[in-house]
Amino acid sequence: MTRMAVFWILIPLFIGVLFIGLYRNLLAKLAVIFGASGRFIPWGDVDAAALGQAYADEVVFQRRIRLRGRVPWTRHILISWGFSVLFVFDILTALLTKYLPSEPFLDGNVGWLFLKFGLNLSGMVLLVGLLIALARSVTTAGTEQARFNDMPGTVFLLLVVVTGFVAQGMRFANVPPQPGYGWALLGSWMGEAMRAGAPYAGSHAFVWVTHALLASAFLAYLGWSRMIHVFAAPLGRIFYSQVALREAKVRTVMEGLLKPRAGSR
Amino acid sequence: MSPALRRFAWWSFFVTEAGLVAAASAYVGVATRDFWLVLASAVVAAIAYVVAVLRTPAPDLGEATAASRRWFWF
Repeated sequence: MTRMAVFWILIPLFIGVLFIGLYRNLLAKLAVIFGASGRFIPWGDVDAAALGQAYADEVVFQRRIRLRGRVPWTRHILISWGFSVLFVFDILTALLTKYLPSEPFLDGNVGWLFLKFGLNLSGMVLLVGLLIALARSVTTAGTEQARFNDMPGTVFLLLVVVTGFVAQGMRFANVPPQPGYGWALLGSWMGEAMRAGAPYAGSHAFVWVTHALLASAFLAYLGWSRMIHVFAAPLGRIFYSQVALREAKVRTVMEGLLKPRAGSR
Repeated sequence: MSPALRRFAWWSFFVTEAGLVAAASAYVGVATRDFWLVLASAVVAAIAYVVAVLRTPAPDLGEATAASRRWFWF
């Protein structure tokens, strides 16, 4: 059985765990909040401009976090954009090198180098964001500023990223250097730094499998931790960008407050 | 839960799992030993999901909004 086969056998389970977490911790609760907000509004009544603005503010530029300061915003934008772009390049790499392999995407060719460049650049952006987050978690521990920190999530994602770079470094160290490999940035630099210990056979396989399992487990973890905000925060913002829903929620809450409580006179 | 949201919960899960099995079969082949293992993994995930959906109690509004505040959704 190949390493990729093991990965493919496990991934439906990990994604299942993610969905169960999303259902229990997000969808079931959102359903109640939707219910309190007058349920769905017809498509025709959706304010597309407000929806687009909310998406740009919350997801693209993350202006709400900018209000908390430059460092939290830099940390968050590096992590979220680094993670998102890395995820896209991961899918593209699997698709173009494993499922629909063609000449440009063979090892060392221009398409392959482009994918490696994208993977490594986004991975490095993510790594810098995580290191800032880790430093901030340590320096602000126990203070009011620590309210928004997520140390377990940061350490988990850091392990995923570091094992990914180490696996890639071992892979580059196992083959003779080529001029184009420089486009792989940190992966290639680590390969050169690790060349003295090459070849890595069993250890490369072990680190690769560890990285794949950690990355898959992290996806499952998203639904069961503070990381659920990856899905919930944009949804919530987009939801309340619609005036009709916002007003309906305020009305329901006010009606609830005005209702006489059991036992009151 | 509204019927539309419940349908979304079912469809999003099953379409994703079917997509994963299809993607995996492009790599491990169809009707191979690894394919049956991928399918078994997806079936176990599906059983767990169905049980989770059927057994998850509906929270009250206070509980739902408390969760959103705790995890900084809004």
